[in-house]
Amino acid sequence: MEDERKVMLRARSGDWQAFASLIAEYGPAIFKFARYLLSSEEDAKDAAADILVRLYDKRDKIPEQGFRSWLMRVTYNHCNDVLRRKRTLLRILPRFYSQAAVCEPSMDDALIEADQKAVVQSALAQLPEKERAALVLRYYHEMDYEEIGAILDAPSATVGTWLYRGKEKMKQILPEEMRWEI
Amino acid sequence: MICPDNFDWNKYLDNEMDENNRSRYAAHLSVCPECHNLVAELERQNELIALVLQDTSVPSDLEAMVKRRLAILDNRRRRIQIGTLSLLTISAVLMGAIYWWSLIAGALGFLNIIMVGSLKLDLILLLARFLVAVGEETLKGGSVVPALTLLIIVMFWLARYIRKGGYANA
Repeated sequence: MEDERKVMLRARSGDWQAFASLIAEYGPAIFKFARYLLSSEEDAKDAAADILVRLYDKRDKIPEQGFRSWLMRVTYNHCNDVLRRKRTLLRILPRFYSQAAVCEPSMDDALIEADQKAVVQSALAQLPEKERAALVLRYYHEMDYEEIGAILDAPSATVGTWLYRGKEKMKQILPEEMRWEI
Repeated sequence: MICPDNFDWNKYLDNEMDENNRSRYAAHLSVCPECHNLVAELERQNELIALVLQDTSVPSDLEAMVKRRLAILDNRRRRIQIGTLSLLTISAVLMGAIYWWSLIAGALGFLNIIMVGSLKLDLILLLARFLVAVGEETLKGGSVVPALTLLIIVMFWLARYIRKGGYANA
C-alpha cells in the first residue's frame, strides 16, 4: 500500500480508489474484530459494511494519525450498539429472536466436527465481551496493552487482567483433550 | 526468586514488562524447568489463539457490499432532498396565497391599469379599495404603517410616470 497518509488524505477528499484501498487494507481487520465481538459471521459482515459506509460518509472525520486504533474503537462501539439492540430485542421478543441469538455452533457440534479451529472459536465466543475484545486486539492485531486500553476505555493493568482471565476461562471451556496443560 | 504466576508470565510473553523485570524473569526461566514448561504452554496457547484469529475467512464481497450500500444511501438522500424542496415550495406558495393575497390582488389590479392603460376609473376604485382595507385594519387595531408607506411609494412612482408621459390617458 502506498504511503498511508497520502491514501488517507485522498480518501478524505472523496477519492473512491483511495477509499477502496483502505477497505482492502482494513476491511478484514474490522470484519475479524466484529466477528468475535458479535459471534456471528453474518452480523459481522453487516457491521463491517455499516462501519465502512459510515466511514466514507463522514470521511472528513478520518484522523490522519492513529487511524488503526481509532477504527478499532469505532468498530468496538458499533458492535456494542449491535449487541445492545440484540439484547433488547431478545428481551422484548424472546420467541422471535431466541433462535437467531444462538446461531453459533455449540460445543457439542464443534466436537462432532472435530475441528480444532471451530472449538477455539466457540470458546472465544463464550467469553465476556471485554475479554474477547482484548484477546482479538492482542493476538490478532498485535496491539500493546496501552493501545488496547485506549480502545476499550480501560487502564493497561485491567487489560492484562482481562487477557489473563479470558485465557483461563478458555482453558476451562475447551474439551479436556484440547486444553493446554498448565 | 519465587516462581511467578500465570498472570506475570503472560505479561512477560506479551512484552509488557520493564527491562529490569524482564531480565530477572528471563534469568529465572533459564534455571526453573517448571516455569520453563509453563511458559512453553502459555506460548502455545497464544499461538493457537493467534492462528485461529488469523485463519478466520473474510468475505470477498465487502467492497461491493459497501458500494451497494453507498448507492442506496445516495439515492435515499437525493429522494429526501427532492421531497424537502417540493414540500418547501408548496408551503411557500400556500403561505403566500394565504397571507399576501390582498397584496397580490392589488398588484395584479395595478399592473392591469398600467398595461391596459385606459381605465382611470379602475385606478380610482383600486385606491378606494385600498383605503377601505387600510381603514378596516385601523379599526381592528392592526398596523397600517407598511400599507401607507407602500401607497406613498406607489403614488410618487405613478406621478413621476405620468409626468414623463408614460401613461398618456391617465
